[in-house]
Amino acid sequence: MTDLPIAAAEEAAAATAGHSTRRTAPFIPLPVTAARATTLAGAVITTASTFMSWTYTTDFPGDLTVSGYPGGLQVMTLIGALLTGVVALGTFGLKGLRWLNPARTNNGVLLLALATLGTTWYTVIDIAAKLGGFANLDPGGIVAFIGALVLFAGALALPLDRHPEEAADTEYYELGWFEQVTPVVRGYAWLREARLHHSELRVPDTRKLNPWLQRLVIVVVYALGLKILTFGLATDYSDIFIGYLIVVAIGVWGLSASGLIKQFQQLTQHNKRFAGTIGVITAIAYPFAQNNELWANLGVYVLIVATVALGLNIVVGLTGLLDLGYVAFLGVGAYTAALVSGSPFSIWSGTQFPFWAAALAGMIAACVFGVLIGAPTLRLRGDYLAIVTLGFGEIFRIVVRNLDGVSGPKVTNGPNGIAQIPDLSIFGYNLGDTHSVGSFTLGRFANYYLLMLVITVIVVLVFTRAADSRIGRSWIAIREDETAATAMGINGFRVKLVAFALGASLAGLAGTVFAHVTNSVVPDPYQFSGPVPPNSAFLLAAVVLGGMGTVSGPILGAALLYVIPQKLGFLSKYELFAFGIALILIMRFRPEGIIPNRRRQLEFHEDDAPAPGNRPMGDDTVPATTAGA
Amino acid sequence: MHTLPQQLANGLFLGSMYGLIAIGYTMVYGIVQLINFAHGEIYMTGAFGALAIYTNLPSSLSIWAALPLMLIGGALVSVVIAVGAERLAYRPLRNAPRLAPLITAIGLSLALQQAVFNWYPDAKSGKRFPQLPGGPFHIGSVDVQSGDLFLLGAAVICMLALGIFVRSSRTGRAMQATAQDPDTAKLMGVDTNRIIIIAFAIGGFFAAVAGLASGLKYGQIQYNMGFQAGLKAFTAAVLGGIGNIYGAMLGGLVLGIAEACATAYIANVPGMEQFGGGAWAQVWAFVLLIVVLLVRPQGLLGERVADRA
Amino acid sequence: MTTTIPQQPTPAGAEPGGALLEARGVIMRFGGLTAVRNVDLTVNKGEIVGLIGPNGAGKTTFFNCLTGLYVPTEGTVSYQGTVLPPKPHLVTKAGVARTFQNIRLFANMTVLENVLVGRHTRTKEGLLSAIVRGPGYHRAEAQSRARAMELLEFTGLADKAEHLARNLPYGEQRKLEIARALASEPGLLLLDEPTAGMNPQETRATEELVFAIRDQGIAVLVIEHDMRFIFNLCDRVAVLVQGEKLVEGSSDVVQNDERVIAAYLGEPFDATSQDDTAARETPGTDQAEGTTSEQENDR
Repeated sequence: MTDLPIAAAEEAAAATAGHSTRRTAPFIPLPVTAARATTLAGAVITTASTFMSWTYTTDFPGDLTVSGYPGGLQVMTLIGALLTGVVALGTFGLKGLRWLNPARTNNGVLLLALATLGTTWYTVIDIAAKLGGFANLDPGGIVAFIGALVLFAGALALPLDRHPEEAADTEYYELGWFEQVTPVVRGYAWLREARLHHSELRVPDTRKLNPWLQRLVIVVVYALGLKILTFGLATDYSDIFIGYLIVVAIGVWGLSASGLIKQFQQLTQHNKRFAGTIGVITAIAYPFAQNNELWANLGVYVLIVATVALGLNIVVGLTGLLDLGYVAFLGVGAYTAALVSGSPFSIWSGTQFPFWAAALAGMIAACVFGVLIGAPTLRLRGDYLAIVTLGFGEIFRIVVRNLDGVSGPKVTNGPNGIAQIPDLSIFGYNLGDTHSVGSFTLGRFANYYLLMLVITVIVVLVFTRAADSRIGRSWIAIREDETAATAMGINGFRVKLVAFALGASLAGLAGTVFAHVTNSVVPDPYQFSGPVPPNSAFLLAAVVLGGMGTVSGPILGAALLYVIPQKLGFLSKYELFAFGIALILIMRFRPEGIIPNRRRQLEFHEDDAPAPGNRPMGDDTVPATTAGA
Repeated sequence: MHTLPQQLANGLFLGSMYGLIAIGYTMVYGIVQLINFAHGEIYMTGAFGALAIYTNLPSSLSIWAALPLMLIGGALVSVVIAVGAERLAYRPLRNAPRLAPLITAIGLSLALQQAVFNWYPDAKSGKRFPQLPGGPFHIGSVDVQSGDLFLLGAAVICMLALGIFVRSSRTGRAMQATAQDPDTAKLMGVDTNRIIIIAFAIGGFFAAVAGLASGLKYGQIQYNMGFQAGLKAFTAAVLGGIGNIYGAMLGGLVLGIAEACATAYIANVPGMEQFGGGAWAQVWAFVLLIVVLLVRPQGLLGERVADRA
Repeated sequence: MTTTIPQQPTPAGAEPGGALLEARGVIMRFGGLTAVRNVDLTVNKGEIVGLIGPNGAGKTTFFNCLTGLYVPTEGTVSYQGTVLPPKPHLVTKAGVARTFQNIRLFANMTVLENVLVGRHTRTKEGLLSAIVRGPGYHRAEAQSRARAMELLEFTGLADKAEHLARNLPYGEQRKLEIARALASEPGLLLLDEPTAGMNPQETRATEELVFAIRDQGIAVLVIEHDMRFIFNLCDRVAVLVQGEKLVEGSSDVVQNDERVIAAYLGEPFDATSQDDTAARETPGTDQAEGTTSEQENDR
């Protein structure tokens, strides 16, 4: 399997000049030309199939019966096949197309082919399962089925970057007792070598491009991103959403393997301010592009959980303190805002603070609780903080339940919570009302979405600016080596307390908006783990999944964890179970999360750290604390 | 009913349970410096394991005959989960940054809880647990249930056995050596991996005993019973001085008695009338944890724990 | 050249240009083990002082007492006449910086960031100014960076400013630790075995570096095993054996002191014929000084 025809090897080496440590080998031994032809043929066949009818009945979600243009899940196959074909052309070294595959590797092609195969076969098998047998397939479906297979087989035959071969005497301690069994060891070694090898992506410098072209690319990519996002959210059937997920997840992985994402990151790094502005504009465009209260509602909640996760990331990702009761600070903010909102159920029902004052009050209250919890525990080992915050999260809920006038003093109305929180009004703009902007109407949730977006931007700014400053460096230093940090003059306790209190305040700030969006505050959302976000387990999972210490990681993580169960209703029962398993697996296999912080990645993979002087490219340009921002 | 001796007795029973669970925290912490957050869940699965055995036994069997089988079943489940967690989840992370095993432990805790919630038959709400016949016994002014007596007896036997094991057996001494300095212990020929497995197994067994006892005491078990109990037991371990097995038991007793007394008497304190009763018990346990961390972070029997070079 | 300076009981600070660091009667006990026994040590301005002794003599423990990492059981440490509080960050703030025996860099920060962390006590910008980023913030940050780059030039690491600290070769990591310590603008620099694991060239380079540091008016106290290095470098050498200061004086005095030879150099050849002092000396373990229980058992 790992044999490689000499001509192909030479060609592969030529295609990847300068990568002397790279080992390339296809999974299927074919001459390179044949492999390329097969890949392209597969892409063409699959693309063509999406213009045919796949099944005779419209009973299947999305209309797949029409010949002439693709619909429903066929769109997924079409996008996958086109992308694969185009990126494959990029690796063939054709002038003018090389930019499509900046890392000059076929690994991305294989992954994209896998995405196409996955979504196509999923569709075909789903049709057969839903309608009762393969007999329900039209010829188009069968063409698609075969085309995707050809595409994938072609990609398997391309010279791929593979894991370096391991020495014959490598010992695999992780096999435990099975290390005695030779076939198991052989098989395991084969599997390890069969792995694709993605590190050391070298991409050309984008600074040579015309600056206006650079900006155009950024705008186009963000617009595309928004389009893809809204497309996914608008899918009406979970079948289509699953097909969409397959294409997007594996496709993004493939694009990342081919270096396109790294290339884009380089662009945004060089045009930081511009990229940030366009990012915000794209986010503002969301309620207009998806002019529908349901999606605006989803957007608000995603922004809330993302913002809170980002606040948690200051504590967990930057400073290395495990805070397991973080959601309680959101609760403190929410309850504070509710109490001063003028709700008839508040004990101070007469007082109605303007929003800025309520937000400030929520932040201060959360900060005070942060200091109260942090002060006794931050002097001790980090583990104590984890358990004390876990306790605090639980106690917060119990106290709030008890302050109902029966079990305790009447403050929070107990389990019934504080209802009828009036909508916010900022400069006379009532966020509860529907407003018209041009030809668009902004409903209640769209208004709150825009307000929450302001808060998110503030939190992102606070995070990035704090991280790249004297105080942020001292947080990271504490995380890296607390003893050395104190020996360098850092007052560990104080610096940790600042991080902890800042994290708490940001959660409090988000809480004030949360209270108004939901119209009422009740104790139940504020617990360690629960059926609905935000709970502390959800937030922690979002940070860990996205990538600790990064800005975009927790936002992405929170969005994924919130949206996927919403779209796939049947999964929500097992959501918490899946979170638990995900935390274990991520820590075991990809502790740096989806979007790795350069530092963290190195810290977690000590063995794979590059040798001195052999650093991955792009390091000189990417400030560590904002990598992936 | 609300006499001081009665409260002390209640605290003693509650404390024995906390102590039994706390042993698991403290032993694992003493050896690998890991707070095994999933330990509360191991206690819970122990209780469910015992219940699963009971429901599958012929109903003609008396509870006294079923009891040993339930103990074995519960212990088997707990020990297998505890050891499996060590082997598959924690061991690969032994040299990873501190945060990694902590997050793994959180994940494990969530997964175990939800696994029982989703897949144990009808576990979405409380499950009835068989109760021991006999009682309540009246000893002086104190009322005692037979479940309480079982709990107390089990705690005393387990503690004595553990004390003898750690002090006099070869493995026990190796365990102490590993807790002192794992690297040196390894150089001296101690199989530290085996020692760590044994620590997890003993912790799991004690948790299963506590789980069974708590089922018998309250007549009901729940999928989420491990969270609160784990939190309390950890408080007990810190209170006694984490890493010290006698400290764990002592901490459990102190916490149990403090909780019982706070529940009963805090309402009598002027100005605190509204903060008594069971609803606030958790809160007072937590306040106690914070106070201990402020005043004596090393715990009653522990050594200094502040992070220094 | 230099002469033996006895522990005069003159209060430091009374005499400008005199004593910078004064340790008086420092005792450090760990349970039953006394790692440092009643040690006095003075470092004067512009001086390079060496601290030598066999493994397990308590050198690093003494260092930790000086820098606030350990709270000495008894005794005081004063810097420029004021008693140092036993908190590492306050000691650094007062002007005593250190390096570690086993390198403790912030491995996943860049070289430049490591040095910037060293600037922590000499900069003021808090969270608020970091978020607001007014002109004052930018000025301070630019100054810090300029100063850090100067130090990297000084230690010869300027071209690696953007590398991750963990990716530096061993010798450069040691240099970076020194640069980081210098960033806190110390009056006294404590070096814990700065040439451990270095080859002769690197050792010579370090020697040059230490002289250059002294020439900038910074006093240096250095722990080292490499005798040639110490005797080349130091104006004065103190010998610590079994937690006690055996002798102190110029290189010549120490080199020729019989007790030192017996305790330190001569011991392995003929342990039985040694006098009382040497008989007490046991072969040191390879463990970090003074903290292991084997030490206790050896007695």
